[in-house]
Amino acid sequence: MLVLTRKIGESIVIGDDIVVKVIETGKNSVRIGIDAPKHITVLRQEVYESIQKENILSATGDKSDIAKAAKLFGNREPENRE
Amino acid sequence: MKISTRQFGEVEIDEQKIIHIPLGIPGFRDQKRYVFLQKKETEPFLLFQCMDDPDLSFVVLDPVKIMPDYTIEKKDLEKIVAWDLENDELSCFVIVTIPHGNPEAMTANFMAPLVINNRLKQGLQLILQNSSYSHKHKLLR
Repeated sequence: MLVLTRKIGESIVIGDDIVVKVIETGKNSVRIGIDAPKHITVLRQEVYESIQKENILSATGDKSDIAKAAKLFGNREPENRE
Repeated sequence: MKISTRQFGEVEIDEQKIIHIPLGIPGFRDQKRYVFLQKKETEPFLLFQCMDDPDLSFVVLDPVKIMPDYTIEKKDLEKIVAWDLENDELSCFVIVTIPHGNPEAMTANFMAPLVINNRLKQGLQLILQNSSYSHKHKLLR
């Protein structure tokens, strides 16, 4: 991993159009500003990983479970409306 | 045309209804063409079936059936897509996780809805990272 030292207000440039700037530092945290083109998704790593994990879990559903879930869901609805 | 699906075998689909997900979705970045399948036995859920992998499908649900006031803000979308958000009609679905053999514990991902542009037949999984929505919202109490 490339490790660089930056001061508050200084930036690094990744490729032609991604800029990462150190905004503020605290005792155990760093506030970072990121400028990137629209098609580049910038996410906290743990958020991305939780969504990825959830997608993988949801992709393994089986037909009889789906039908059962649909039934359970259908039975639930009237209670919810009241 | 006909496609194979693990859940429903061979299914006839209308090519006009193929949805393109140019970036794929996290965990499945290479799969980019999907179609919605609707079957009576799985209503109100729909199946979001990958065109190119019979084994890959997601159970999805209209989020309004659970949260009547669930909305996606324009500002969350305009940062990442070049859609005409004033005029294009969008659809939104949440992906449902049904634990194997334990459908009572099903949850839906309200933090990362699938958003579809109906005119362009294009979509993405939008991650609302600063929202208070859960990615594991229980569908049954």
